Amino acid sequence: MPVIFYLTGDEQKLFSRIGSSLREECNVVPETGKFKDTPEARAMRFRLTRVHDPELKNAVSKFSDIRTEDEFNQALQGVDLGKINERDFIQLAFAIGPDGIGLILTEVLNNAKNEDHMILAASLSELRHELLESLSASPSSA
Amino acid sequence: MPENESEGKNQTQLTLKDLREALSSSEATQYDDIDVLREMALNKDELLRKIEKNPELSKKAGGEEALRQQFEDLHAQYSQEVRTLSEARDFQERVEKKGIVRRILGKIGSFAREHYIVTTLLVLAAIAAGVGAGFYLTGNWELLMAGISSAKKQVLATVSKYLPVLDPKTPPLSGGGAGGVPGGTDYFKM
Repeated sequence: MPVIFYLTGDEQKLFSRIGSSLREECNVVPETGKFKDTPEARAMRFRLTRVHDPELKNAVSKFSDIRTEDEFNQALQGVDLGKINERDFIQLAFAIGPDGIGLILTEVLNNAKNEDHMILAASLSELRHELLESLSASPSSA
Repeated sequence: MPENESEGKNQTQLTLKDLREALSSSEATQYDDIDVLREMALNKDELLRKIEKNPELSKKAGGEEALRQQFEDLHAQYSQEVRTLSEARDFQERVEKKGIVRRILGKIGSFAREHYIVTTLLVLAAIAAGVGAGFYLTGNWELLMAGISSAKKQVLATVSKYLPVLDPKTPPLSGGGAGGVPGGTDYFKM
C-alpha cells in the first residue's frame, strides 16, 4: 500500500533528494491548504492549549532553573517525545499550527535515512493536512 | 478582563466566572474558564440547560429570559475562543480517527534525539502553553539567551517563529485576567 505525502512545492524538492529506494511506494500529493496563520491566531491557540501528561509537565518544569546552555541541553535530553500523551501531542501540534508542523516535517525530509523516517515524514504531512482542513473549515478563516 | 465583564464590550451581566462557579457547585468536577469555554464551543445547548437550572444565576440576570439573552451575549463575546476550541476538537477527532499521532509517536522519539530542533520546538510549545511559564517569568530566558552559542541561538530564533511573541504593546486578548481565561503565555521575545 503506497505511503501518501502531502507536500508543498519546497518540500517536494527536498523529497526528490531522498534516496530513490526510500521513495518507492510513496505517493506525493501537493498540499494545497491555503490557511494563513497570524500571531494573533497563534497566541489564541496557545492560550487555549492545555497539557495534562504528568511526565511531560515534570520534564518541562525542569526548565524553570535553567541558566546555561549545558543545563538547557540536559533538560532537553530528559524529554522523550515518543512518550508524550497522544492528546497532549495533538494539542501542541494544534498550537504550533501548520507552519510549526512544517518545520518538523522539513527537518525530517532533510535528514530522512530510513523507512521509519519516511513513515514519520508522511504522518507529519498528514497531520498538517488535517490541521489545515480543520482551520480552513472555520467560517472566519481565510 | 475585569471581574465585572459588564464594564466591557457587550454590557452583559453574566460572566465566565459566574458559569464556572455555577457548574463547579452543581457537579463534582472543578471547572476553569477554558472548561467553560469548551462547553460553550461543543455543548452550547447543554450548557445553557445546566445554567438555567441554577436559581441564583437566573435571579442575578433578572429572570430566565434575561439569563438566556446574557448567555448568548457572553457566547458572542467569546466567539474567537469558541471558534478556536471548535477547530481544536475537529482536528483532534480527525487525527484520532486516522491514528496519525500514534504513528508519529512511534517514530519521533529516536529522530528527535538526533535532531534537537524538534524537541526544542515542542518543549517550548509546552512551556508556552503554560506548563512551565516560570522559566520565562523568572527571567531565565534572557539569561539563557545571553549565555548560549550562536548555533543554539539560531535554533531558538527559528523555533520562536512558531510560538507566541511577547510584545508589551500587544493589547490583551479578550478574556485575559483574573475573571477570564488565564493569559500570560506570550514569553518568547528574542
